[in-house]
Amino acid sequence: METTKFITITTFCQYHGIERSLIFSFQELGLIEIIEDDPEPYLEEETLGQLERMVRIYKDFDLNPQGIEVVIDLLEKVERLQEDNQELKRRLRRWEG
Amino acid sequence: MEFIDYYKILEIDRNASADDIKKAYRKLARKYHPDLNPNDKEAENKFKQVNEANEVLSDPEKRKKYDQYGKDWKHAEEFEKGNQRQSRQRGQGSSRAYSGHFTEEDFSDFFSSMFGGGATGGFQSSGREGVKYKGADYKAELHLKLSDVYRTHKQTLTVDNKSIRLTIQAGVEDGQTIKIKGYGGDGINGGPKGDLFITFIIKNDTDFVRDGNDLHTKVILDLYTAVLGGEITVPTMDGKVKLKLKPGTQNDTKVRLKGKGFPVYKEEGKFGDFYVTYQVEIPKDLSEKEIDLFTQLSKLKNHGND
Repeated sequence: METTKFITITTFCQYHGIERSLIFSFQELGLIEIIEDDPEPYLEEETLGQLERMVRIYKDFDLNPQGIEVVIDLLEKVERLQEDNQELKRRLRRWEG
Repeated sequence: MEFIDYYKILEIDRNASADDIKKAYRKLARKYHPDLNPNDKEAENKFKQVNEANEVLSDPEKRKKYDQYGKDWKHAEEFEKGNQRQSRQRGQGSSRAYSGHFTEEDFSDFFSSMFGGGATGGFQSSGREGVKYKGADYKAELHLKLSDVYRTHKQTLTVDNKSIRLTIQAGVEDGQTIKIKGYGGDGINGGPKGDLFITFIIKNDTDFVRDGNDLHTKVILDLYTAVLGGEITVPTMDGKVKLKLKPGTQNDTKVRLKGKGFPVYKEEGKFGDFYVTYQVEIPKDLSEKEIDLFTQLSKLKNHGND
């Protein structure tokens, strides 16, 4: 039943008041996927959450796309560590009863 | 409702200049920014407090009012006047530099009573506008008992006044999160809706220890059954089972009952294993007769050929 929605780059950039080039530099760094299509390239709805996070970081911290890439990498590591930590805590709780 | 010390929140003193406030705000907002502190509720709260403090202290009018009435903020009359004056100014938009995720609920009651509720104010929209197109993701916890998730069952949840009928698959793990697409907040300007993330918190209400799909239990064995062998009854999730014991069963012996453990998530008919560890109980407080008999046994053991 799940349908994938598409959002054109123009809509997204207008809404966020950002340059298209920013989105394409994220694509070049492999941070997001853009679907090239005629007449307009678009984004899959699934990528919106991650992309909007990058846009917030871009705006709030004045970072360039390379800086954002580093931040995203580190955040992914933090999230993985958090998950591992949770899992270990759960295991510990199990045996401590 | 408690008085909130905005100066303390921004870690500045009361004489701080506009520039000091700006610097302090930027520093703290960076530190507690929700995007840099994933899954950290404490940081999120701090971030909201810092924003609220900045909202007040960076605006000369609000700061003046806060300084003047702040300590005696319960004086309703002055409040009323303040509210009326304030309401005319709303909608100007704020100078918030950080874009996080804001809703009207993000400001404290203290703020609302002093500067008017945020519900219709310009703050909410300025917080969200230009930040999010896709609706906010919602996070929820569903607390269940381990015995509840032994079988697949349905449950109705109410999220944001909407009922969601959820099938909870047998074998779901403690801490496991599922995503329900499109059940988050509304998108903005035609953006897609956010998603709902439900994390299962499973409390163990059984005597078993769950390790993935396996269950573990300890069974106390009396000395005589351990020595001579016999039959015992052990409870499992799926009723009682009879176990045969060999004579001379050792303490800490572990036996595996294949397929008697917990159901495997989304694999119908598949189960983990059930492990029973025997703990042999050594008799205490013996009667004279028992002592006598154990002594005989001991002698027999030590001088078996006598």
